[in-house]
Amino acid sequence: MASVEDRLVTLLRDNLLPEETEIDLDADVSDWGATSLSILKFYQLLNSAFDIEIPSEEFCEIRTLRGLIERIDSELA
Amino acid sequence: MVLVDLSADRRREQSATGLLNAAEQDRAARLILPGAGREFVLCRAALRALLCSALDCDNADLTFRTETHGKPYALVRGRVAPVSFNVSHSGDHGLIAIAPHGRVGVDIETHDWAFDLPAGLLSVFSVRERGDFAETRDDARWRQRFYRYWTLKESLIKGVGLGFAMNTTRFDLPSALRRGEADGVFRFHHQPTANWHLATFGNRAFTAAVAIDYSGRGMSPHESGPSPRTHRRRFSRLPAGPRALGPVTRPRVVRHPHLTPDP
Repeated sequence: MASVEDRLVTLLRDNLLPEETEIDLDADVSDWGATSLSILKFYQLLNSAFDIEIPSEEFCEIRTLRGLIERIDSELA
Repeated sequence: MVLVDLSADRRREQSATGLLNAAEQDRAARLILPGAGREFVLCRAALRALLCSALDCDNADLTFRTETHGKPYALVRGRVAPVSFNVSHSGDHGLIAIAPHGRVGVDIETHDWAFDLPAGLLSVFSVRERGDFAETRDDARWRQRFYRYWTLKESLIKGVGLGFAMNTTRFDLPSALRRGEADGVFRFHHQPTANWHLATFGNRAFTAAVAIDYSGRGMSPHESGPSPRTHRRRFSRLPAGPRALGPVTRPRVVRHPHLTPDP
C-alpha cells in the first residue's frame, strides 16, 4: 500500500497543485498561494481520502506537508 | 474600500513589483499556483500605495508583520501604524479595506461556475445556516448563497484575526443577511459589546463581504457604523521606484472620515 506521503502528494497533484510542481515537504504551505476556498475543498478531500477527521482549527495551524503527514499518521495510528 | 483590478498586465506587474521590498518580492517568486504571484504583487502594491497615502509616509518606510494567526499589520519606520486594514484577492479581483481604528476583515470570491462546490463544504456553516441551503434547490441560487455566506463568514474571522482557527460552525450569520439583505450587525456570544457591521456586495463576476468592528472606540450598540464605500482602482500607473509615490501616481483615495488617519 502506498505511503501516506505518496497518497498525499497524489491528492495534491490531482486536486490543488499543478502536475509538474516540485513538492517540498518542509516548505510553508502558504507558499502555494491557494485561496481559502481551494484549501477548504482540499481539507474535505483529505479527510475523506484518509477516512479521518482533523478538526479545521488544527488543520489550519499545520504549516508544512511534513507536519500534515505527521498529523495524518497520528490519526491513523 | 477599494477594488483592485488584478487581471494580467505585464507592465503593470513590473511597476507593482518595484514597489515591493525584497522579502515581498521573494514571497511573490515562491508562490506556486498560476496567477498567485501576480495577485499578490498587484494587491500588495495597491495596499502600499493606499497606506502611504492614508499615513502620509514614504513607501520605503512601510513594512508589514503578521499577528499569530497571520493577519498582517503595518509599521512605519518600525512603529505600528495607526490604521486597520485587510486584503483579499481571488482571480482578477482584489479588495482592500482601510479604517483608521477598530478591526476590519474582507473577503472576495470570484465566481467560478465550473468550480465544484460539493455539499460537504457546508460543514463550515452552522446548523441553522445549513438548513437555509436545504431550502435552496436551484443550483445558481445555491451557489450564490454559498458565496455570500462564505465571504461573510470569512470576513468576520479575518476581522477578528483568528482565521480558520475559529470554529465557524458555532455562530450564525445575522438573520437579516441570511434573508438576503445587504448588511446587518453581528455580535459574538462571548464578546457582546463588539458590534460587527457586516455588508455583502458583488456583481456577476464576484461576491464580496466586509466586517468592521468600531466598538473599541466606544460606539454604542445603537450607533450604526459607516456604510462601506467601494471604489474601483486599476493602479495602472504605479510608480517604478520604491519611493516614488508622487502626486500623479498617488491613488485618489476618497477621504471620508473613516479613511483619514488619526492626527
